[in-house]
Amino acid sequence: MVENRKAEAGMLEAVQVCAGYDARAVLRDVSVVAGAGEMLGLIGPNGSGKTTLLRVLSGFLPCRSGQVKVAGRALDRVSRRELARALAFVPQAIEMPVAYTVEDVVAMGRTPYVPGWAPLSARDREVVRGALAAMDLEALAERPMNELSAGERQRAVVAMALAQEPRILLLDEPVAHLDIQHAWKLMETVSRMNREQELTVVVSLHDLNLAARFCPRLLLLDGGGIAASGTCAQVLDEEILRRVYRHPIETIRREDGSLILVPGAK
Amino acid sequence: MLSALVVAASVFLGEGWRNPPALFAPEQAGVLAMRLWRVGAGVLVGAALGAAGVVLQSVLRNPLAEPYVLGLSSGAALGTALCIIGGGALAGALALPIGGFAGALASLAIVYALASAGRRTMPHTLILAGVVWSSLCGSLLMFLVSQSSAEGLHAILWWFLGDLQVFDPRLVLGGAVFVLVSLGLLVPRLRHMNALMLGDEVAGHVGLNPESERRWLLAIAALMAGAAVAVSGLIAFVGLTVPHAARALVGPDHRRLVPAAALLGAAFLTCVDGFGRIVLYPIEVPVGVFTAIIGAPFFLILLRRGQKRVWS
Amino acid sequence: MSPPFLSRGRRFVIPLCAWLGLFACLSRADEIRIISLSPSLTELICDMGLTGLLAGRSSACDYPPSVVSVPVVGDFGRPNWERIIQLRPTVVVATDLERPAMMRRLREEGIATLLLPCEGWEPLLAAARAIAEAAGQSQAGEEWVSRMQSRRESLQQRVSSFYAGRARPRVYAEVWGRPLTTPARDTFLSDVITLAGGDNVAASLSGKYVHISAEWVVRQDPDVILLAYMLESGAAAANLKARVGWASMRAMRDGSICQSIPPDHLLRPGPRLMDGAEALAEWLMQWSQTFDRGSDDPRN
Repeated sequence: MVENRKAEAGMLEAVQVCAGYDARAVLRDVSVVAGAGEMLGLIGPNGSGKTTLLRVLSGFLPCRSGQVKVAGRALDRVSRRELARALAFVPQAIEMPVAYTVEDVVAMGRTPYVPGWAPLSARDREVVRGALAAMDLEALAERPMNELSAGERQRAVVAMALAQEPRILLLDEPVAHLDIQHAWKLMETVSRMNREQELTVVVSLHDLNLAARFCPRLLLLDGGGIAASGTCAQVLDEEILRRVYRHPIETIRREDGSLILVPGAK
Repeated sequence: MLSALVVAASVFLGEGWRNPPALFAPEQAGVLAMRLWRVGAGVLVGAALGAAGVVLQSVLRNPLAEPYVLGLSSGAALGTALCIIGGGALAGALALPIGGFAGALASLAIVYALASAGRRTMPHTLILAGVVWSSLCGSLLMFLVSQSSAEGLHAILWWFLGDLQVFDPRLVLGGAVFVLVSLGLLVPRLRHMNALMLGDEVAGHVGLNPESERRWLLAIAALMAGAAVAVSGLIAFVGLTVPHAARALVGPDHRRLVPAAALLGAAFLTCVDGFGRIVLYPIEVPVGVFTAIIGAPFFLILLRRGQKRVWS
Repeated sequence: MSPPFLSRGRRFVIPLCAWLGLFACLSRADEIRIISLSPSLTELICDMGLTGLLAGRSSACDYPPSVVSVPVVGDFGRPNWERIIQLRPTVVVATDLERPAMMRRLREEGIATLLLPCEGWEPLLAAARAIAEAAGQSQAGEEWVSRMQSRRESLQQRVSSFYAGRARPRVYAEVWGRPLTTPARDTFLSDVITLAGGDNVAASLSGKYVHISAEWVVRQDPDVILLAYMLESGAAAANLKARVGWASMRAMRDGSICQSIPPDHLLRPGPRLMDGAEALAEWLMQWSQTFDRGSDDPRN
């Protein structure tokens, strides 16, 4: 029973969601379930609706029809504060008009837990330190954000999301600006937390190899609808990929069973 | 933080008492009372402008924002002008400040309504609406000035330059109530302002409603700026530069920044006003003239020193 | 007793003569039509008995009541020169506050102009003579001047004999409250206060009407506060009692606030200034009898 409730808490579900911006409809009738402790990858070409789906799932963008449920509860029934304790979001880019330090930014992740006027409690500071450590940022804690490299900055934003102690972590192309080493390191960390802490992760990725390597389950979006969904083997099918990306992609299966995807010539 | 406190404290001693302790003699009681009220008004207005400046710069995410940016000043000026022309002088000394206060708040409401027509209010639409509203008010004001008597004109001009002389203590007390209430409302939102700086999306994801936070913060800033305008007229420069100086001193965390800006604003304004009292004595010069003359070099130095910690 | 403006009188007389010469050429003495652009000059013209020659006035010219029927040619300081030309005046009189460009324009239209300095006793008398001459009524001007001079001399005599062996009251005059504005040395009001036997505390400051620090007023601790607001409604709003720190002043404690004299009698540099000076002298002498401090006041 206890096990069951815990599983519920990390569950994120979209039911027949339609959403968009102003006159433009982006998502059409999308349903997806990320079970507690699952790591789901969102892939698809530019403009296929990955970011929009993440925004809908995070509650930032209201759906036009359909419903998003967190831990079985409809999103519009959950207060923002409550939601922020359950779910954290790492956007593609954040505005940084003033020079906050890394620690300042990570501490902002505690906003849903602390009254606006109160200083951080010992436990809050503990969590912030933990998040900094998880992202390997201890040495940079006092540095202003705008002096950091893109990779360091991205890690800081992930650390801020982790400081929210979420059950669910949404990441929108977290490795877009990172080199191979940092990209892998970030994905490894997220993947480890997914396994060790049963953190539900939904991550959108452009790099199909990373998706294949780290996400047990994938959702392929195309033109605002779901083109394919299932395990890597099911989704990363040459035929489906060619249709969705309008470009030939060769899949190579290695001996250990992992997939390597190579774009071919047209 | 501590240093700002010390500055504020030293101002109280430093500025007024250049003429030795004779000021405490019983026959100078009247002068002493005037000094204290005037310093009190300076602290009040300086703190309100400093804090309101920080709030607006954060809410609008714009380093050029200041308390008067959203048409507050021209709205207040228009309100005051209407009072002067409508015979406000008859209604007593409090009519003009109340007119200015009402003008400031009405301006903010109108600008907000203009900016949020239909959709979410983004900072730049707010600023644009503020600019449009300002120029509209400016034209109306010019029309009124061109049609008013020479005496009325003079009152408006003086009011535009700001003046901390206290003739009616009720005004300062009333202003203090508004500023204290505003600060009280602001304190629980200091942490939220940090998150709001990183954009609506981030603020939303850490559990805030950016739209309603913004509405509250703007209302608080308007209340403070309106109270300051009512007490002293338009004092330029303080609301724009004090937040930057405070940021250079204590960094961008609003939990330290807002109190620091309030203290620094209070210290700066009382200091400058004290200086203004001395320069041409007994001729009175509007304090707004000196805030820029004295403040500019001082803040340039501060900004240079704290360069890395201000706006990126 | 030689007011500072006497020495400056010559500066005004020379250009005046030039204008009068010009005027004499232009005028055919058929019909004289005067437009006055300043309330004080309108009063002066009427006081000399020349109301019938007024063809136009500014909207601020409201005294004597008989001028109400005279056409208005614009506001004080902002006359409408088309209206002026339409009225076909032979001469336009204005104070030297008027814009010179406008005056030049009128002269180009063949209209004589008299630009008369307005601050000071001697310029006032000179203005009276100039206007009377322009109207072809020099006699009326001379009569008016001697009438004013004799009033002034008799007032001076009364005042100086009254204050022999007595301290003159120190007067702070306020013409506007926000900002505090007081007449400094170079104003007619300051002269009027002196003429009326008072000692203007701001006479030590150079300039005309100056913005003064409230602290300074309290430190001066004048005997009498004279309220002469440009708008009569303003004086009611001045509300001296509510002002911080003012209660400690001698004048406030004694209630020595003079606000019974109509401001026009003190501020308009015209013929009614003598009325103002006489009324103020009366008020101050009464005050001195009530609060007799003798001549050994340490401050004098």
